[in-house]
Amino acid sequence: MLIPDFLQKLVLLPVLALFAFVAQAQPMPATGPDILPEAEQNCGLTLSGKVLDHDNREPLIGATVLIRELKRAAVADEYGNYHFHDICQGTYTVQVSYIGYEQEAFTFRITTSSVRDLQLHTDTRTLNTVQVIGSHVKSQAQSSELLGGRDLAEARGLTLAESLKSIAGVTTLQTGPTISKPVIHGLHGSRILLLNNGVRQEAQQWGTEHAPEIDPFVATEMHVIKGAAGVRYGADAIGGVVIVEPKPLPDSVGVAGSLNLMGSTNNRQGVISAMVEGNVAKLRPLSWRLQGTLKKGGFSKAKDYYLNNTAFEEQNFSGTVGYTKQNYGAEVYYSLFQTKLGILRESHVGSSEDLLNAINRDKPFGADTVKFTYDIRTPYQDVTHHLLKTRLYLNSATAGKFEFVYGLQQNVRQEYALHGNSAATPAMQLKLTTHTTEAVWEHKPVGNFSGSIGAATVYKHNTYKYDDFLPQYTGITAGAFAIEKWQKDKLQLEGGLRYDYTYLLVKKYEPRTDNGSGSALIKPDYTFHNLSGMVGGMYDVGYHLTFGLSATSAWRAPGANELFSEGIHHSSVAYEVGNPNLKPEQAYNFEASVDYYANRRFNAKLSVYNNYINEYIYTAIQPEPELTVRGSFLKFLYKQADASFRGADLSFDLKLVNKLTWISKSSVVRARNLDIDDWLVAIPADRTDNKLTFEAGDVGKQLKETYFSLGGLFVARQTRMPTKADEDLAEAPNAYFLVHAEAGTTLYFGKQPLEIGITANNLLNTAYRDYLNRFRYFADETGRLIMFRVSIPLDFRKS
Amino acid sequence: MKKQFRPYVAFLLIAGLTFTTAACSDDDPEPVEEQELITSMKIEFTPQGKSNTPITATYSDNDGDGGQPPVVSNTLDLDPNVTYDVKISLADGSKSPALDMTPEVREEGDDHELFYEDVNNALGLVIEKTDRDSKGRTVGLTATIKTPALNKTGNLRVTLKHQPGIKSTTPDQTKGETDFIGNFPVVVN
Repeated sequence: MLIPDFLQKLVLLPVLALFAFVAQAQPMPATGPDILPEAEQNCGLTLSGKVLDHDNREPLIGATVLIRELKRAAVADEYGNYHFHDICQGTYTVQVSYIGYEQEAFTFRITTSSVRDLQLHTDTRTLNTVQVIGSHVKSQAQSSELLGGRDLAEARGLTLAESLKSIAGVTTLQTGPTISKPVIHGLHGSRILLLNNGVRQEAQQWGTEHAPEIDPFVATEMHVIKGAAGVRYGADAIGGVVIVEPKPLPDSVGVAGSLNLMGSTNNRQGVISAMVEGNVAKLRPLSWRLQGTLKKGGFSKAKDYYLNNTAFEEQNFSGTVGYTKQNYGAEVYYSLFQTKLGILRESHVGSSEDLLNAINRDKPFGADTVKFTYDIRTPYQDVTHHLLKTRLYLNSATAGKFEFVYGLQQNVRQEYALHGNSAATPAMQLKLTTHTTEAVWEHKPVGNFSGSIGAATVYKHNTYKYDDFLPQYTGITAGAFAIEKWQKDKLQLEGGLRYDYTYLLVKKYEPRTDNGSGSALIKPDYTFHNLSGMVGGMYDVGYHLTFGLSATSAWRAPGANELFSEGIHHSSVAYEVGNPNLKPEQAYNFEASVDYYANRRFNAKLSVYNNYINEYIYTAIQPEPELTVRGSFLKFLYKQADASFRGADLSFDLKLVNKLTWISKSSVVRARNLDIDDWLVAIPADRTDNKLTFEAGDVGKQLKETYFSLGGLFVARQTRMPTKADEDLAEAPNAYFLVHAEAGTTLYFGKQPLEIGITANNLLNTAYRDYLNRFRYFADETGRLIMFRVSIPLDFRKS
Repeated sequence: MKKQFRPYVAFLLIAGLTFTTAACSDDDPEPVEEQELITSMKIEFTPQGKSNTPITATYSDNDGDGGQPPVVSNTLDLDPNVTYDVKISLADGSKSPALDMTPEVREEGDDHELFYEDVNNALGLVIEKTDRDSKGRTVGLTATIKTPALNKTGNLRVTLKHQPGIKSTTPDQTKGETDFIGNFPVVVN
């Protein structure tokens, strides 16, 4: 009775979609992939062609051509020819790699036997085949970027959000050195969707001091979609999407693995991360992987003093078992993330009087006497996140591809305050349990059209203990979408539509009354439903140049915290009052981009966007503070206004002379409250990061892929602060310039490689504060930090 | 192998399972029992060497944060040129009956200190804390206050600070977290 009938039907959507699919797929005999009945399905097709150098049209002899879906590979012969026989009709991704060239992937729809020539571009950035990831044909008009290879390796040991900072347009919102959240084009929190291994991460994302509970070591690549992407990824994806993808399970017999060791100066952090994976010889389709990470760090040090109580520890584990056949398969994945994060002692203040006392000190009280330790004392956070995912898929030559993903997540967040018996009981405990399902059917291409339809549901249930700042709630969301792409020659057009329905039931006690009588339990409920849409176009001019235009939208229902939070939010020393009358936010994102790629000397990417958000939810400071027995607190009320986020991201790399490349990334964002014509608070300042990389390549016989780089990050002072309302407590900190350096090589002991890297941040030990760090009121940022890392790939498949 | 594995059966099982879980019942939450809550501060003035009934006032906010703001029971009416023994008691009025929190603060004297402020020095009070913690530092649950010879009107503010590990021999009100601020209007005449 809690869930309206209509909703029950919506929850059933994926199941219905499944029935539809099964009905479609019925004629398909349930056979193994090896014996394909050719007559009915026309599986006797041939795909062949030449692999050529894009610039001089020379055949690339020995290039590897892989059909990803079929896991079948061919090698180009002495004339550059390759061929595959006995292929069924369908869409295939053909991946081509050749040493010294960028690995590229081409998507073909095969309806008859075809001849396709594959052209490769010289690898302009490095001559390492492992470095460059990505296909030059963008799959969508909207800006998206991939973090992998060396950039990801250099970020190993950092938090998820910190690792993403090397992407133009992505910054972080920090709470000291240990807690950071990704910010995309000025938006963060509930407006950024995180897809962890195909499942949307459901935790307490609304909190500015709640970091994503994902182990970055799980990922072999991270993909960031910038801007609203509601159609494919569902409600909430107003600011962007971060996709964390592990590599596919192994398909060759034997056991392999890797060991990563890291150590750093400053907070004397140690990290050990190991992975073992294998394939069962007697049952070839069955593969498995186990992975784990341990991290521990002590107090961070600013230029002149240790930051009291900033130690942390983290333990992560994940395991995967997969059964992979050509026509069907299943995968079960489980991951556990557990962390304990110390919070700067100074930042835990009572009333606004205490806060002002702290702000007026130029460094934390007693900072000079703080000694280094790994101990974590109160205040601290203890967070555990479980994820269980199952994925099933069916490939049918007649119907296309069907995929079903179910995710179960449990997030337990305990926040310990400074007070009295706090060692035993947390000041606040939140437990969120989420079930997510998604069913997607990627249909067989029809003419120039390809696309997919799908349905998804999210069920979440939140309970609290010790503090009722956030109410208990149950939320159900169900949605369905369709996306179609039309491609002919150099033009690609895409369009999509999605409908989502959300039901929210809140259970909350009214504030206590003066006469001490019990308070009443109220049970307000909400329903929201809305459409998201997307249209985009891309034109490949040729000569390494692509133009893209896109208009995307997404919406977000107000969260339980925005509707009903009431009380002191300790992390912001504010008395927050929810607003039960909030309406959903609706974002319309327009973007134009130019992409100049795969050139020998110069590659660049420029995107300009305008993200217009209707009914943007923000907290507005009230003129009268909230008086309590602990003093006065700034009072914030959740409000709505139309807002716009405009900006540009530019990244390029330019080869100056042989082996020396200039790599540059810059971003600018301007955010306005359109209702009162004022700036919005807490928007990242303009920044540019430039570095010179010297590719020493192979030094002697033992050192390979050696490189050095030196660069500097300049972050301007945020001068665009709100003046009419919602003013900040203190002025924005000054601009700063940080020098960073990286170096890496691969050492060979016979056949055993050993990857070694050093990353130095804030090399000159500059004292600075960042506008988007909540600790900026209290203490300087971390000083010089040098990270050492060793990565040892292990192969037990002795041959 | 061929016909044993029917993936769509598994699909259905899982989809069904999800649906069942989604539809399960939802219990009501329990009201939160706040720990170590102080909702009222009572101040008692007893003139030294006399057995008069003490002059008292209470500053309280029994409905907690939000709702009604804190209130003070009455104005403290003190005599001029008198030295008073002052005693503070703290209570948690959210419980029924109200819980006396004074012993707890006294026990944790090493982590707490009370600070008396004669707001804007309008009253000209001479204040001295008389109790000590285990390390000989002032606590402030008891004090002596000497009133001036002339008639005055003003406010006395008493702040309880939680200073775990950072309490020093020289009292410093700017440190630590504020547990309670009591505001008492005072008239000396």
